Amino acid sequence: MASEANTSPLLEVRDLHTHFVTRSGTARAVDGVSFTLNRGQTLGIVGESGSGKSVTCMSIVRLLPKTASRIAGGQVLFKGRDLLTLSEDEIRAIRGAEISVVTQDPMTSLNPVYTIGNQMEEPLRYHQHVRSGNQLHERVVGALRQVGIPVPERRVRDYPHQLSGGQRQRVVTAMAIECHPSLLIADEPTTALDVTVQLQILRVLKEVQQNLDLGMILVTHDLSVVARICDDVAVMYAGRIVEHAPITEIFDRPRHPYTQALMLAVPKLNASRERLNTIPGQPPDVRRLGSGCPFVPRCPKATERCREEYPPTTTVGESHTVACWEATS
Amino acid sequence: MLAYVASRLGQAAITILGISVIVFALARLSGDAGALLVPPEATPQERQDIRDALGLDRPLPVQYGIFLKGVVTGDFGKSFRFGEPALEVFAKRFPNTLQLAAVAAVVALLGGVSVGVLGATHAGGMPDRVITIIALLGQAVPSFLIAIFLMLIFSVNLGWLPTSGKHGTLTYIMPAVSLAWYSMAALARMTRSSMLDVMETDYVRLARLKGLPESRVIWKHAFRNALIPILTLFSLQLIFFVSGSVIIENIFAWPGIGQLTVQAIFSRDYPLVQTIVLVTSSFLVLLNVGVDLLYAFIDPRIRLT
Repeated sequence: MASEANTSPLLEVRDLHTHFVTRSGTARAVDGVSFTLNRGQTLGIVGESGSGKSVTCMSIVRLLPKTASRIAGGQVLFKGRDLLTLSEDEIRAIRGAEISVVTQDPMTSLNPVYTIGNQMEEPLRYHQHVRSGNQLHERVVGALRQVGIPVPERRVRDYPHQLSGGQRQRVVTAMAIECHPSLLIADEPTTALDVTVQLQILRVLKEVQQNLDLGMILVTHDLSVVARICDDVAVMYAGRIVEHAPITEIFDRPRHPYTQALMLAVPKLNASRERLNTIPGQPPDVRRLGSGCPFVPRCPKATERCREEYPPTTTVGESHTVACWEATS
Repeated sequence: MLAYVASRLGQAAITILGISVIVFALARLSGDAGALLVPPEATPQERQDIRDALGLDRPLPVQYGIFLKGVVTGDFGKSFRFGEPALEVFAKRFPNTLQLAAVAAVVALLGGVSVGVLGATHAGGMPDRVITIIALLGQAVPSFLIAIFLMLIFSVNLGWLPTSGKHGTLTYIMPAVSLAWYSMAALARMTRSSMLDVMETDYVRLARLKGLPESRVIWKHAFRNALIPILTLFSLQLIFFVSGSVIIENIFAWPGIGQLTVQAIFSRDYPLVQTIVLVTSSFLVLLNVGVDLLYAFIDPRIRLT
């Protein structure tokens, strides 16, 4: 899976800060996130709601609500270019062409008043200037076939309401890959789907990622999804990455107390206990972060030092980093 | 789709039949037409004669039957006042009203929608605030007042526009704007809120994620979805463009059915009143059917129901 060491990474996020300005203060939704991603590699970003995983992704493509948010610092190097310094037109030319996003809810992500074909032709028209009707049709049908839509010739004339949720998510995926991007961001792509359909969609994403040798970021709160298709995992808490490691490493040797708690909270089929394991407490309010580790109130191993000083990100194994005083002492 | 069209047309037919009953009944409730058609010194025999001649003595259901049969065959009876077939009297004036209403409807729709979209895309900003205030004023100030103000400013003070009558393009401006005023404000507010709702949806977000230009996102992906409530409001206001003309036409001496209606009612000209109300309302009912069909064109999900 890993690409050659001598090529520069596809995506390198350096010390990204994204703030939301609210009436009750500035929320540091993303607070110093850094990671790299190579072609052909899949990174899972895991965390609870509000941990900043979606905001991280939307910062990469610079599609955040205009009035309330701003990217306060950092760099997003995509193929060596800093996306944060591009003009509106330049970033628009990258969205949907080189960096595509598969959105969360397939039921509401497609425009109800246009046919599948019409909506799928748009990126081709705008990014690749395909004009001929036949060519458009072929490309669209080809992309739909790639994600396993049966009889795609007929589906292009359908409206979204005529398709099931799983099929719509396949359409959204097909739309994301039809311009042959090099980076695919999947933002909770299976959250809104039935469990059986979830597996199919994950398989489609994995297949597409491998066939096109894409770099993929998969945002999820579901560790079992991560286990299925990711190479690396970044665990986010309160706007920061608290642990980052290859998939086997993180499941075998989780070091951060939060990661360990997440692992315990995954329900097991053969468990005899009736109650689910949960993490006590709630994620912190990112408008009121102190200088210490934000996980302290929920952490069983918290010490005085944790309360006062945020732990530095430390390497604890091969490509395994963690930000925790206890895990590194 | 065919079933949808058929059901809308069926409903329209029932509505028009209902209107004909109401029109007929309301006209009879307004008093004795025969009394108005004879001089005060007429003998009882003369009064009786005229009522016989007009069929006013027969039972109401029979009169209604005669009326309905006439309508179906295109015979609306003779206007008591003009002595000509009521339909002809009406047909001479109706095109003038229709022209004014059409111009006003276009002004209201184009003005209201573009102002509303501008407000929504600049929500919270300066243009939006100005627009909100103007729209509020538009709904609060009655159209006859606007008409008089326009006349004062543009005819009396500036002398740019003729005060009244229908002779050439210039004379359309003030009556059309006054007639459109209220609708335009209401449409602007509806467009703004409808667009704001749609701009928040996932599919508009996905359209942006696809890298489409903002103008395409707004007009293709957001606007068409925002159109249904706007059209609903517009179709309700179509009535206003015709009924509102009663006032506006009188202010601007516009030779349409607005003035004619007032005259016909005052002289208890049953055939003429019935013709005006029935034909005008049938026309509006059909326009609303047209709007219903437009819904289906705009939103494919409606075609199924």
